[in-house]
Amino acid sequence: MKLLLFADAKEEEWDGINLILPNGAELLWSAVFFFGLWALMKFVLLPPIIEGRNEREARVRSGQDSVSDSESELAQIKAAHEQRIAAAKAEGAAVVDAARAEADAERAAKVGELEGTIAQLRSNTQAEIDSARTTALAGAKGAVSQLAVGAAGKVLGHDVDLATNQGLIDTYLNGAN
Amino acid sequence: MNALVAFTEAEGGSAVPFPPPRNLVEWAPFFGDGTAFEFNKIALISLIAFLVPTVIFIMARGGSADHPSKLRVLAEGIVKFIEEQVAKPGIGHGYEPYVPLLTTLFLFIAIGNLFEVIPFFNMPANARMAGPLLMALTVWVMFIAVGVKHHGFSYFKDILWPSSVENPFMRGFVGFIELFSVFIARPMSHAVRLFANMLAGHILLVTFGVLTIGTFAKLFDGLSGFIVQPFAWVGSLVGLIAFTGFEVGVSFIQGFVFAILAAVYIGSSLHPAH
Repeated sequence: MKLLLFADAKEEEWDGINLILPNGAELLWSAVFFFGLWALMKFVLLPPIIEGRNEREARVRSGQDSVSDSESELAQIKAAHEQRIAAAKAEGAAVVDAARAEADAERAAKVGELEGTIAQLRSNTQAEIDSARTTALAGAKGAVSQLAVGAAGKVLGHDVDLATNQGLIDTYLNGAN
Repeated sequence: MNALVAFTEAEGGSAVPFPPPRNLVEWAPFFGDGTAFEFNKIALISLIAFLVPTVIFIMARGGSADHPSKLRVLAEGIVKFIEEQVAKPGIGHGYEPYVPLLTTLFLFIAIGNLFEVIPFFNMPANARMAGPLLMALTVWVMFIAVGVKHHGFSYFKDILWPSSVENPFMRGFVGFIELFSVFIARPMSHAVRLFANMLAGHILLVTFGVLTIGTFAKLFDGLSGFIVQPFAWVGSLVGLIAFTGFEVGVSFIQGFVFAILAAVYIGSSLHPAH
């Protein structure tokens, strides 16, 4: 277990060791290298690195500004384009509305004209029908009257005068209609 | 670890005593022994911590700014990190002149610390007091200089005789506390925080390294070793791996903390009202 007994280390081995006070030669060399590095950093090493970086960052900023300007210009062009599209759409809608109104008016006129024609045709046809019916009815009345007078004569056993009974026959036929 | 194994063999191979503390923090010089220019492992790590950022930033300059190379992206990322996470929050308006200092502090400390887990080095440069003290004193001088430069003598007057305290006795008392806090405690705590953290981490890794080697050596030491030691060895090894990963994070965090404290100190001198 000697391994763990660090206290066995000889006490006198600590004698003459300066842990806190700096060694003169180490101080000298540290100063030479530290101040040397500081001087190099200040006058030789850092300036080109920092300048190069700053120039690049300035160029990047400039590029970003240019992109920003282009984006602004693009937005303006886009807005103008959209405005023109909206105007064209409005104009198109107005043309369509006008055309639709004109078409509606024309259709209404045509329909009115056709309806008049149809009404005329219907009226003519109705007149023809009425005329034909009147003619047919008159023909039918004559035949029916003859038939009725003949039949009545057969039933009564003597001739029945058509002229005398025409009014009765007409009344009967009109009531049957 | 070679030094630890050698030490184990010197002890007869039966156990692994904790290495002498001197072996943990003091290193034989490569050259200049005994002179003011003695160059040891700490100086070598400092040299590498100087060279690595220098090489990275020099090679990063070669790439085009429009189509940056990977190294340039890395270098710009480091600078951006320092600017956004350290300089702006710590200093605020007028942070730009201090970015080189803060970048240097962060990189020099973080790279110096990383050698704690790099084989054959296994020593963070900032586990020695020289580096942390030097950088803390540099920041100390810097924030006082910034205060004097921007506010003149009133920088000291506002600290030592704060006008926001109405009672003259209390004003003097607060001024005394501020004198101690700003001009004495700040650099000390700044340096010791980094140094103590890295030294503690270094000792922790050495401890688990010694435990792992020692328990492995004991695996073949009879029946008890065969039964008991595997658990101790696996536990030590897992601890060593876990703390190695932990110390990698600590290396960067300590660099970040040192740099952001430096930024806060400079910012408090630059904008004392905040």
